[in-house]
Amino acid sequence: MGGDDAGESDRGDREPDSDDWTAESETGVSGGEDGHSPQVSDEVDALFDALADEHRRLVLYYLRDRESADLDELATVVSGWLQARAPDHDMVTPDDREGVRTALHHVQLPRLADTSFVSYDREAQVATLTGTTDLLAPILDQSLADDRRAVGSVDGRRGPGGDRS
Amino acid sequence: MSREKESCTLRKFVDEVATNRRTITVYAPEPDEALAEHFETRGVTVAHEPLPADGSGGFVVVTADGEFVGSVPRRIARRVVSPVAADLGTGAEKAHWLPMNLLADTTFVSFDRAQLLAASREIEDRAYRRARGTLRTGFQSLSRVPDQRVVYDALVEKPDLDVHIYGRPDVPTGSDREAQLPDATIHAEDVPEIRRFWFIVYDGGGDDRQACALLAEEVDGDPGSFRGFWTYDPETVADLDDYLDATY
Repeated sequence: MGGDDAGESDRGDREPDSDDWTAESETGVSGGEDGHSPQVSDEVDALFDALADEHRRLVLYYLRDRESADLDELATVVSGWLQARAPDHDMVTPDDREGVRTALHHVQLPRLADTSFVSYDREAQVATLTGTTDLLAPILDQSLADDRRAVGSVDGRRGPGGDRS
Repeated sequence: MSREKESCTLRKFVDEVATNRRTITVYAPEPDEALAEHFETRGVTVAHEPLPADGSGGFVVVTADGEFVGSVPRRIARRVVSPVAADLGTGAEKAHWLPMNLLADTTFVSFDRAQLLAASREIEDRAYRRARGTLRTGFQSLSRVPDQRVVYDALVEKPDLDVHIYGRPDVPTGSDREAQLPDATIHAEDVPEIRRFWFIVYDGGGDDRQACALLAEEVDGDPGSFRGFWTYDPETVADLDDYLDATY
């Protein structure tokens, strides 16, 4: 994992006077009310809102290693991945994928683009990770670790191999 | 017969599947060597896209000419490589067949008669369970129908399932044959492709997920040996269904 020590180097661009955001982000507590940087805590809130939905979470996971991806690719990835995380043995049909594609285009990607982490070009249908990943990385790592516990317990085992990395 | 000219249109379906190669992309934390080897030895291109480890094991996407065909969890796809007992039997865990077919359908296969029968049984069983729609079976020769009597007796009993049987008329017409399967539509056709092709086409009875077809041509000079494909693609199934409906 190693996300906890993700640097704070870029953070200064957007919020020079808070040193506490990392701890807050890991507990999910917004620091705005108790005098810590409201701007950063807004971002943390936005990120947790983004992560609260499984579609958006998977988009963030996927974009993290690629920076940008087009809508077709994201529809394929999110529909396939959702099914892989489900306990049943069904397949994803072109119709299923189309449904996910529509939801991504009209709801999930615009919602992600409301945060400072993702931009979505509706014309070109390309989503891009923006700015620093310093805030994003440890939270996504933590979220993935949580998923591994949850998904792994869906049917009492993990997927066949390849879970470690 | 005037049909002789266009008599090998079924072969066009086979040729198209043979050329319309599919690509498999494995989205997983690590490349899956076993899956890659399984499909690459069958002439299917396999790509890997890294995915963060979330415990799901990832998924496998099938595309044809860049078009999305379907995807399955990788834990299911692995069972194509290492089937468990339930995948091989015709009994339990039917649900597994659907995703398996998506992958099986990427393979252009050779069959012997026993394998054809086993594969046909799966399609017949699906039609039986769904109990609606249209099932079209080409036995090559109508004299083979009696061997399948038990299965087809059960199929024609389903009032909402339309059963069509095709074959060279090598049994006496009339009462005998009609008495065998009174509720099936028998197409006695003495044309080359009906003699050469074994097929079974089930339209899914309104559910694309259930649509499937098997089409195989007996190899020249090697009787009992077949070349063809098993498709789960609703479009291909519908095209086959339309073709058979319009032609015979």
